[in-house]
Amino acid sequence: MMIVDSNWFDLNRVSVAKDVAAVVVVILIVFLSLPVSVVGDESLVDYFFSDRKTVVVTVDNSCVALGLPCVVRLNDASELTVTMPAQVNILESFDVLASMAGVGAERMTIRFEGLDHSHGLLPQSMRQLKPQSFDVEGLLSYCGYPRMDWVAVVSVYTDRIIYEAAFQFESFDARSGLAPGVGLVLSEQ
Amino acid sequence: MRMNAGWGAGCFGCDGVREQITPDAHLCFWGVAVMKVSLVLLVGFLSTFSQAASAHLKWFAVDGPAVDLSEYYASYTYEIALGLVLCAVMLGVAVWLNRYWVVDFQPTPVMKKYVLRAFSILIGLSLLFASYSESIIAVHYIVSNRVLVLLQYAQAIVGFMLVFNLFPRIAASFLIAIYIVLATQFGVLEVLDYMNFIGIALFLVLLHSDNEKQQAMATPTIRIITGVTLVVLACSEKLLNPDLGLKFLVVNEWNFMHSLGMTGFSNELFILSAGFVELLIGLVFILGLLTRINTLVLVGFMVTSNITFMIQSDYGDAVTELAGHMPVLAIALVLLMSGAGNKWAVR
Repeated sequence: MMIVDSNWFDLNRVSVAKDVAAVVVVILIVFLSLPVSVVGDESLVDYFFSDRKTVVVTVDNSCVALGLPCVVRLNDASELTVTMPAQVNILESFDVLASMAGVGAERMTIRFEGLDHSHGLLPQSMRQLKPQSFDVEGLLSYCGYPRMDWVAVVSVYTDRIIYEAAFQFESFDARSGLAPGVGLVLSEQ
Repeated sequence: MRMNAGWGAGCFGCDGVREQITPDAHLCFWGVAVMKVSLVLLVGFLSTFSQAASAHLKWFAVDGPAVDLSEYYASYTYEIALGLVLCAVMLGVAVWLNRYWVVDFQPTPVMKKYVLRAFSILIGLSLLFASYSESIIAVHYIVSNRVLVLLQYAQAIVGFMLVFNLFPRIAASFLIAIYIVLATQFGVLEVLDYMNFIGIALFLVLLHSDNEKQQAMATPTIRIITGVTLVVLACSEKLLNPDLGLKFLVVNEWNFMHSLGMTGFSNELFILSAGFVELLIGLVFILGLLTRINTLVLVGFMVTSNITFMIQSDYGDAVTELAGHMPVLAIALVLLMSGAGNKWAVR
């Protein structure tokens, strides 16, 4: 039983021409009506052909000082939650935990920047614990200043945007008389 | 073993309607009686747990600690052994019943035409629901990057093409491509749960072929791939990953064995039972045994699970369940109409 005519690619046939026209209409309808949240405010051309842009998110640092998880709104549908200590003893390792809700994070990195002294540290990739949840264990072992202010810049790499959120904290040296050093070792568990 | 030459085989090219159930003539009265009782028992066994089996757990999964599988199975050694024996017995009964119980039914050309259109429309609507819910094929494959956005558009276009019957063979080929790209995004093992979409696409490709031999392979292909999908689901969502089911049962009180007075029937045992039943239904499809009855059991309890969701006021979940089950309902329409098909079935 012949269900499809073998000449169905012949555009001169009325039904095939009509079907092709219908498919064109369908494509137009789909492109005009399909909701695609991940594209956001960008045009489809920008979305598919432009590079990722970086968005710096403002952070209220009182949560770090209070020892609470910091919830940072990245956009209307996404939140980043970061838990980290407000004070770090350079002799002890510390954890930074970050989790995302909403838009999917491909990966997260963290870099530590001294506010009053640059250490030239490279960003460290955070380890993925489970989907949308990352951590890193840090040790500021070579930082010999008795006290120093830092920001931990957490970068969230999503499909189109890199979100950067900076969390302020301080380091201290529980010992005295230690020679100053400039270095940061981040080790993953 | 010989091939079943029943109509099921011949979805295409048969005319007229002969709807009669014809137990084999050489069976004695007691043989027929035993066969009928066996059939009732088999359907009863399958239907007892297939409601839970038909709930697609990944759509409703919640986070929580993972179950230690070795500990989990060590606690239910005897129950698992019993389950395996029961499955083997049920398969044996199904083989025996299938040998003597021939459903000789041939659909009219008009029925074939409408069922196959309904099939395409249901698949198309399911794809459109997924695209307009910003997911690919299933609700938990959420669109989150550029590749998936492309798939979302392609899926919507394929959905419309199937609904309006525009170049169905091309649309089906694109559906296979969408599935393959989806596998690159979420992992091959992950998307094996939805292999029935490959079956659906192959069915449409074979069905719209101008080669009659290929057309005759359409029904057996979709039956076998549906069976394999059910076996995969039984393993991935229940037998090898009981967490999903256990968490689902904590949120949704579907373990009805307690209300039947079997208070010792734990949620773990319930999930195991549901897994075994899904496995059995899958194997029965693969072997092409009692295909219409097996399909009826599956459909019956898919509908029941939807009604249960609606009664429990989970309207969103009910819609998710309904849309997710649409492809299976579409497959069921074809299998109810055509049975096992005339190829690759145990007889």
